[in-house]
Amino acid sequence: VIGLMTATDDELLTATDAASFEQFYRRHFESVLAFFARRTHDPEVAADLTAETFAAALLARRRYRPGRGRADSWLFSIAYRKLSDSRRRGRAEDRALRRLGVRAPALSEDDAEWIDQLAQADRAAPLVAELPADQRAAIRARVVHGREYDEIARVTQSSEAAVRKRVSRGLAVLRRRLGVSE
Amino acid sequence: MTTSLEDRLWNELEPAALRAQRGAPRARFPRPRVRGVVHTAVGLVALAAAAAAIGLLARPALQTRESAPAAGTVQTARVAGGLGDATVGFGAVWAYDTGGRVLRIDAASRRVTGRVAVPNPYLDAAVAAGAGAVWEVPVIRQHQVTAGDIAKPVTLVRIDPVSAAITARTPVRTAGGEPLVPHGVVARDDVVWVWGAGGAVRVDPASGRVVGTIRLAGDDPKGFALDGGSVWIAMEGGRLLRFDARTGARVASLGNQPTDHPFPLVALPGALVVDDEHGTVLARDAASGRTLWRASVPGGIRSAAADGDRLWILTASESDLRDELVALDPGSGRVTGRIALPDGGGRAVQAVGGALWVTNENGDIHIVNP
Repeated sequence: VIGLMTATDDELLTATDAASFEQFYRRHFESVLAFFARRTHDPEVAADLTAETFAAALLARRRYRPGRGRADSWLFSIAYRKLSDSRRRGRAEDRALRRLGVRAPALSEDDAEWIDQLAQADRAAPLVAELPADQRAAIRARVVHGREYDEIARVTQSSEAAVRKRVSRGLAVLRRRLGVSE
Repeated sequence: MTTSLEDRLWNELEPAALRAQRGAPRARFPRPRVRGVVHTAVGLVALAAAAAAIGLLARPALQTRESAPAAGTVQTARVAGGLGDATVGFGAVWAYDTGGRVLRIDAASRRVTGRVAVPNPYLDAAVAAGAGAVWEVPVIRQHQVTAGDIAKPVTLVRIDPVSAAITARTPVRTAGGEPLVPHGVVARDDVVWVWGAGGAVRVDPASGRVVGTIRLAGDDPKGFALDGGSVWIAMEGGRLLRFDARTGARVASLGNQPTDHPFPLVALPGALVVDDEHGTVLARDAASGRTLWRASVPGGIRSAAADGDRLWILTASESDLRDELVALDPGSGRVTGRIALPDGGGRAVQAVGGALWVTNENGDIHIVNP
């Protein structure tokens, strides 16, 4: 079963069992939710659209053809359509959910807070994970958690100047990879 | 908080996915490939080197659960962007995801079956399973940070192991009301201890209230272990202190051996195993403090786990940037096995159903057949 973790998205989508789809869902749940959170600025709408997107993906799974593009692109093309529809209609669409007889879960306050955090970290998060460990820790502490430089220096047993340098270098890498000018 | 949003939505989607599965042609899930395999075993160096080379070059298909992997085989799965501490309990491995979540990974299926958001203002966290729940506390290990640097107490979180929901939050303060700077959490039977700079607090798992305090002034504690009715704390300055777990009273202070960085003290019958930070592990007699044996390991010590008749030490080698698991005979300290891991950054080792699970900073779990 560990193979599920290492299977490609194509393999997960072209398999027909529930466990493979679950693995695909869990692999992309957070990024899809963050995608909607960033664009709707509304945790509840973001969660509803996420549910609708995965419901639609489940319905359309048999039509997915490997080799015609990446699986995550296919998933996000569904997400784009759902976002576009929701803007046009002024509410989150739920057609796929209704077809499956599925209800989007209600949100708790903790959920809403977490979704807000996801929205902020959306684009940079995967790139942050690729940074060297010292830069990654400094960026997370400073940018994600909002810690002061002197506090990070104390916690990481470094000088404040070293922490500033790590944050600065890490941000420069992120800007470059995101295509944002200095 | 209830079960994570991700789990709740999946709970809704799963029946539909199962219906689709029943209505679909036979599942045709392809055989996956392993990401990296390394074999090493004492006395089989040449064979292990060949196996490692073959494993790396040929990238063989992953072993299935029906055909157990060969001894020394390492299987790797990425489950998060980064992993920290881990613990075993309630049929699962619980690992801290440095993205601010605790992951529940089913020990049998090896699938992530739960994610619990645990907001953490610091860089790290400790987890423990016991006393009917899973416990998580943010951790600050560096000794420069004192209670005075903490604006408000950090929170010990209680997670229900069945629902993977947070069921209690306890601010970590001493009985006198001062915040504690946590280094770790230990849970056993009917008690939970959070220990760190300033001492240790005993938490009643039922009420979530702090019901006892051990105060430590001066040196920073570097290791903590429970042994029956005793609490053992290894101090930065080298002392090994023993306390009555019920009253918090100090009952012994044993010798001076350097322990300059955090190491999970391991309590063996009649002995405590500590790290001297110089690539040496010491076992000390619990009554006299006398050194019973001394073993050399190849690098800094990250974690340890007792597994039947072996004590496994997770070490970080500075020279080749790859971690290593070293097996010691708990009676003599003799090295009985060594297994090289594919990379560095190891954080915790746990014995799980005859295998060793190692979490690392890259978000991987290495599952090792010892």
